[in-house]
Amino acid sequence: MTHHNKEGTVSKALDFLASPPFLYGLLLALLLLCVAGTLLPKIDIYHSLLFTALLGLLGINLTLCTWQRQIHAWLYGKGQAPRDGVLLTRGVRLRLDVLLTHLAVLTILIGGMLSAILGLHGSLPLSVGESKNMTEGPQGFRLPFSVKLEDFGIEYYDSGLHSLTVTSRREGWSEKFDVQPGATALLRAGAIQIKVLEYFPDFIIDNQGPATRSSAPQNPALHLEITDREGSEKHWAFARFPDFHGEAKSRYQVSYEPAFGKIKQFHSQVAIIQGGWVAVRRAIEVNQPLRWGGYTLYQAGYDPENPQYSSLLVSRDPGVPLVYAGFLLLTVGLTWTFLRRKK
Amino acid sequence: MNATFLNLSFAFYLAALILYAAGYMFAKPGLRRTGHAALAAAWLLQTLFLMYRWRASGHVPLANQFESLVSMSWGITALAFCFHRLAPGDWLGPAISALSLALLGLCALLDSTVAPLVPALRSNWLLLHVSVIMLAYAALALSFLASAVYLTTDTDQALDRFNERAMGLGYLLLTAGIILGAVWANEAWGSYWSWDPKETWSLITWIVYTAAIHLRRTHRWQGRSMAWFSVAGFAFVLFTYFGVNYLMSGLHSYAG
Repeated sequence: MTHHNKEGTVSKALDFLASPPFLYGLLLALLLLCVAGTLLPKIDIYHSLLFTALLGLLGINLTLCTWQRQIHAWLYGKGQAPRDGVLLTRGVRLRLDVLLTHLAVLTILIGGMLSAILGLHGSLPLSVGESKNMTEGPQGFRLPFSVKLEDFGIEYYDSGLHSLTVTSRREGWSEKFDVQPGATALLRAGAIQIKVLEYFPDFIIDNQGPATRSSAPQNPALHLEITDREGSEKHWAFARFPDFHGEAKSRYQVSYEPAFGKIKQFHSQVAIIQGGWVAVRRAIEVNQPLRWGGYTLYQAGYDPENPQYSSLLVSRDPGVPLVYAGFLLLTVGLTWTFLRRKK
Repeated sequence: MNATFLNLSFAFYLAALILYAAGYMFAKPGLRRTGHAALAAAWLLQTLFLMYRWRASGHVPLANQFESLVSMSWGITALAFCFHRLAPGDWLGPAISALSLALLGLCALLDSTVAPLVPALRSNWLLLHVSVIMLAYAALALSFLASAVYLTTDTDQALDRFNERAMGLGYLLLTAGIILGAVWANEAWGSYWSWDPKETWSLITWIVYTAAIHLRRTHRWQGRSMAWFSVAGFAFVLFTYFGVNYLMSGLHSYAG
């Protein structure tokens, strides 16, 4: 093969790699693999060599296309007319919106590649009081600081249901029943009336007296009025303080169990310990991660059987800034394209 | 009261469709104009329903399939009002009424209970991500309707241009919605992309519309071929929106 022929073959190959038909073929192949990936979840298609190679070829196609059909065509004018009848390069006008869009996808692909190669993800299962600096999982890595779980709590929605157990100190009987704020329950064939005067989901005492700090059932309390033949007596019942039984001379003892609703939020109170000192103290919640020293700590799991346990996810992803830059470029490029008036 | 707004909205969409049909049969433009008024009333009632639900539940009505479907149907009618000047002929009003009836009818089959938000959804990203995605689906539904009309009755060039604008807007919003979802995922789940079935099918849908828009821009694909592409693309939208919720489980499973 002569030198001239070799150059012709390379040029043809580059033209093909830069061509829209090659792009459509790649998109179709990626689409089919994505569909297969969702239908066969046990096979990790998205991290396979084939899928990675297709993404690599997509990057090559975008780079060559951007160079040949946009930048080179703009710099050197005509003479770069594609062979497949594509209408994009009609001379020297540079379409910045198209250029931005192509560069955006390339940036996202490069950022994704960085995430795949350099990204770290590990879990940090902790019990209250425990501190760790070594993550678990396939990538298990050591952190340049320790994470101490100081406290863990689950916040629930108010279910609106309250269960009371009333015990007669004199007669010894005990009855468990459900009540609702504002309603009156009848016990012992109506001989005893129990009225829920007020419900405090998050009980505190402020300057005005008893009040609630929030609508979340953090410290549920009921103010009750128990009426029998001898008259009425008022009681306080606290879900978190079951040993509080009011005055010893009262005729009844009340214990209170609110039925919690669905989980509203998880709170992991953590301390980051660096060089033997607490560098920062903060609560990590779902949607409220903690960023420290290039790492991000997320609330990831809990154990319904162990209220002292919380699992955090730790990640470090150097690809994120590039991916986000690509997102921004893509949004600008496509908006520009959409708003451009057609001549 | 809340459900009454939605039921009344359904009744007005039905009235609009009947008025459009009567206007067509008896060639009375007055009936068609009354149909427009009924369509506007239906949309206003739907707006009231959504506002009422937002206020009553304390969260944006986009947290489950029922709420997002009503919002998407609202978005379709809203976009139709915005773009009606670009739509040639008289097909838009009847098509929107029929589609809204179908979507609201489907809502009747879904669980409409107001449920508290799970921790993952307790974020302002819910409003940003889901509203943009629903508007994208609404614009792509308009593109689908225009294509269906183009393929069955009218091969007007203006209809093809309407399809192009609706698909372009839908594609832009779909891209923005996926990006917003990725940024939210990075805040909530620790990764901007997890190959969750919903994410993957959104990407598949995005690839289909990318190919369609690229073919139109670079190879001047238009008319029937583009209309077929739009119909096929909307099938992917439907699967991403409905199919994934019922057939596949993943990080987005609470959307069902």
